[in-house]
Amino acid sequence: MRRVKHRIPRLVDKRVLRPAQTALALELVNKMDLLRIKAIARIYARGLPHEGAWEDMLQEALTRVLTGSRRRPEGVAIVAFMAGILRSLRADYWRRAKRESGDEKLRIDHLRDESLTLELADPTPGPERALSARQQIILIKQLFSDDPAALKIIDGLGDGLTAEQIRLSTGLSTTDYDSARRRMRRRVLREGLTCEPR
Amino acid sequence: MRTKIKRIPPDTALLRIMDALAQEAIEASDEEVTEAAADLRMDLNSRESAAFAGLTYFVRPQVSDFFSVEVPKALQAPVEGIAGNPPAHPTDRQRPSKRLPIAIDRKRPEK
Repeated sequence: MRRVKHRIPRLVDKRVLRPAQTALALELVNKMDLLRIKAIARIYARGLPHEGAWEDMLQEALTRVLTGSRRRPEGVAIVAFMAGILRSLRADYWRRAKRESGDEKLRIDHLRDESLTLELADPTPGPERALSARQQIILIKQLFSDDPAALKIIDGLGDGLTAEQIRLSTGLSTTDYDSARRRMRRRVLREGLTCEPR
Repeated sequence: MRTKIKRIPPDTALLRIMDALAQEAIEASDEEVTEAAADLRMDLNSRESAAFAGLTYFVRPQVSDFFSVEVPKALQAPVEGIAGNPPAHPTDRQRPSKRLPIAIDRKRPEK
């Protein structure tokens, strides 16, 4: 009878780089990528309570990379990897803030049986978070106040539309859409390179 | 059938916008970054350029910029020892003791 060998799955995925490798990649990162990372940190720090939040977020992201709590998958560019960490740090912040406030629970009562009552975390944002988000959307729109096409694109992005859907709903041609996105990119980079408080 | 009204929470909309803008920053070419810096009259060849504020140097002034803070120095001292690097100025305890030459009287075997 032929015996079938069952292999124990490896705990360490080969496709994930070791922290030392990512640390080395960070050390060798060129100045253009550094500036891209700064711009991304400034984007994701929008709406967070204190002024220098982007610096703290960036430091925290670097710490996670160096300690190995975040592993870089092979083939993922360092800038995209850092962007992912910064995004999750932002989400972590709001999750923690919501947990600390503690009063946002959704209660679903059962008609007959009280033991079947459910208490879930309320998925809707709290008033502070909603207000902060609205303010930030207004501030982002102010960046593009002289560009009507860009404003339409931002509205579409906020609604979760794809590029094609935005073009169809706004009546922009492919060329107009692409050039508006290029203008947006330049404005975002310009804003990202500064250290102006918002 | 009634039209469905979908209400998007503001934080979801903001996150979507931020993701799109971050994607723009990821995809920006080196030329676009340089052009954006040139718009702001930033010289990317200079290490002290404002573009690198928060990356290669602190944006906000640090306490150590104004005062000589002794605490960090005191904390750094044992780290040097742990790392295996001898401190630049060894303290009195770490200096090798200067022993006075002592005559050693050896007992001669008795004949």
